[in-house]
Amino acid sequence: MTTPAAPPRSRYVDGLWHRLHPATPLLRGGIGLVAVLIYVAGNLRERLVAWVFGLPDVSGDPVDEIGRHHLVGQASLVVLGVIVVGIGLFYVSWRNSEFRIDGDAVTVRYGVLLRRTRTAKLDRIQGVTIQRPLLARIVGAARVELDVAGQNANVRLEYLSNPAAEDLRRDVLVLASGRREEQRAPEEGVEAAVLAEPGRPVVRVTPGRAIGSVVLSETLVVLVIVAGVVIPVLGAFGMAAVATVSFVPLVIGSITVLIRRVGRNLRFSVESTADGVRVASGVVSTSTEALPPGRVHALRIEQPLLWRPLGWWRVSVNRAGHAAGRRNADSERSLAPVATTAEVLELLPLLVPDLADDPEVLMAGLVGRGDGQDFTPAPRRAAWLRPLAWRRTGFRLTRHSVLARGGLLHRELVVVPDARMQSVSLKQGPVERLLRVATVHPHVVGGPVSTRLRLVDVDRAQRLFLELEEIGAGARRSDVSHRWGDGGTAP
Amino acid sequence: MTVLPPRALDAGIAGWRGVSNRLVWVDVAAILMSAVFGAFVGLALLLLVFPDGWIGPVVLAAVAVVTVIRLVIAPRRVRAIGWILRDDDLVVRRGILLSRLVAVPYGRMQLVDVNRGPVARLLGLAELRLVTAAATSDVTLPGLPEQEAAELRDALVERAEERRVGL
Repeated sequence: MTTPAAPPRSRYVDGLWHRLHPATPLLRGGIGLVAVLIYVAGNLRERLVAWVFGLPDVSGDPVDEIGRHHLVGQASLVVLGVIVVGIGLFYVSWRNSEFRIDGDAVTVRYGVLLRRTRTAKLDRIQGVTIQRPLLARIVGAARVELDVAGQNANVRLEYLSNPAAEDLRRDVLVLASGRREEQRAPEEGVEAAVLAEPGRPVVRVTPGRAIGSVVLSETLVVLVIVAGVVIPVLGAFGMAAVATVSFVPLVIGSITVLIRRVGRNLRFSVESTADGVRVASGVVSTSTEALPPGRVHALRIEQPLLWRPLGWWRVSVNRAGHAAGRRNADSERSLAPVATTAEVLELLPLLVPDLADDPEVLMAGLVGRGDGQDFTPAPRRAAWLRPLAWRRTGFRLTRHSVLARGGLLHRELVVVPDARMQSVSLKQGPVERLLRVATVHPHVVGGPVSTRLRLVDVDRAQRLFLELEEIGAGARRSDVSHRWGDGGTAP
Repeated sequence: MTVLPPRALDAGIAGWRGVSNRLVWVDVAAILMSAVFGAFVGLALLLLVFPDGWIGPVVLAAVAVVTVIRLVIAPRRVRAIGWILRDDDLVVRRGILLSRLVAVPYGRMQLVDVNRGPVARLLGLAELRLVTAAATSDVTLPGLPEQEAAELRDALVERAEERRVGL
């Protein structure tokens, strides 16, 4: 390990092993054990007393029985012993859970009998999430999760005290960004700066918008149609039973999902900090995660038809190493579940710095059609493939990214930073060949966003394929934004 | 090594290298395997499930037609596969009906696999598989003679090492 010239000042970044929060064993499942013990003791206390003290016939309340047999001293000893052993076990478990951060990697090891060690290379860390489940919040602890590229490769630090978690998140991001600590403004206080890392709010979801966005969602519209039309119609044909059996669970299930979604949207905020964008959400269990700009592999801004009068948008991102398996619902994978146009225009340049150049281009991508702002529209003959959406389908190359526009009713704009393209494909099916169009597909890491450029004129598509390949190669050589603090293309 | 003629959708890239014609036999083996399976299903329907029904003969006829078509186009499909090493990337083209062209930059390759199926091994062929961080860019290049596949893999690994970039 090479020691950086000026190591970050936090007490964690020293290559030594550190312990986690003392309540960790409790929070990591120990609480279940305690509950089981209490349950057992509550149900079997007579038996337990009988077994421990060899009293054959315990009939009354065990505490009275102990008093009657003058066993108070022994009973206290037993209780004390159980407590000591319990504390001892927790202590051993806590002693054996440690983490270490050095210049290259974060390493965590857990377990007494079955030791588990996991290492995350710093330059492969895609983001840092702080989660606070309810119990952890009570004792003031948080779980820090380091997102690493690859399935199930995330490293979890469970649990740390709240200030330590914030501290650690900042340090890891600083290290991962390759930024040296001396570049920080000297006037920033030590602990205060860590706690604050003052974020400028960019997106704030108001309660009205949180509820409104769900009320106006496609899911709810389908639900209303089912409840208001399909069920009565089936009822009218004497199939009320069928309707009830088949649709009522569906309706109830959907309502639960919708309510949960409102809950998630509530208290949702995106803030911009020096280390990247910070996303906070949740009322009961809160989670905070940081998303540096260099880790955005693709971005989608979309607008369901019903949101259009209100000017709301949903922003989703593809990023490497995001715990895809754990987060299932679409809104949980979206970066901003509902944001206004103004907020979107402010947010996008933070995620893809290139987009700051020209808001006009962005607006053309969001609401425009045709060839305004240098977008290359789909040729008219392509209407056979997309009767409506062809009018808005089009693409544009900006200085450092590719914009793909589409969707007439459900508007959509996809942004792919050049430097994040992995490979490029050019495809043409039989119908596309007849219409002389093709699909160009810049490949990026998996996620909710699809990055195909459809309905491109076939000659233009072949040129675009080569251009993207060349741009990609050029962008790759000059790109340092995956270590975005080192200067170079600093946002 | 064969150099393929240009064709409609090749992005103006010249000098495509073809794969071994022996790959046709690998495809033929796969087609015959699925034909046997289809015939088995058809016969089962005809003899056991619907002895007097129309569905068994229809399935058998469909299997026969599909098999013949696939056998006829198998050589053309093999001839359509081409690859070329350019300055910064490997480009692979495939497909007749659905043409596909994929360019994988050397610096983005995460893995280069060489696979050999049972029939391909008998014919001395191997399949090269490239993986990047994007699941969508999973590229396979079948029908390379084993020697050539090994050389290509080494060349790719070497260039990937030279130009390694982050995600």
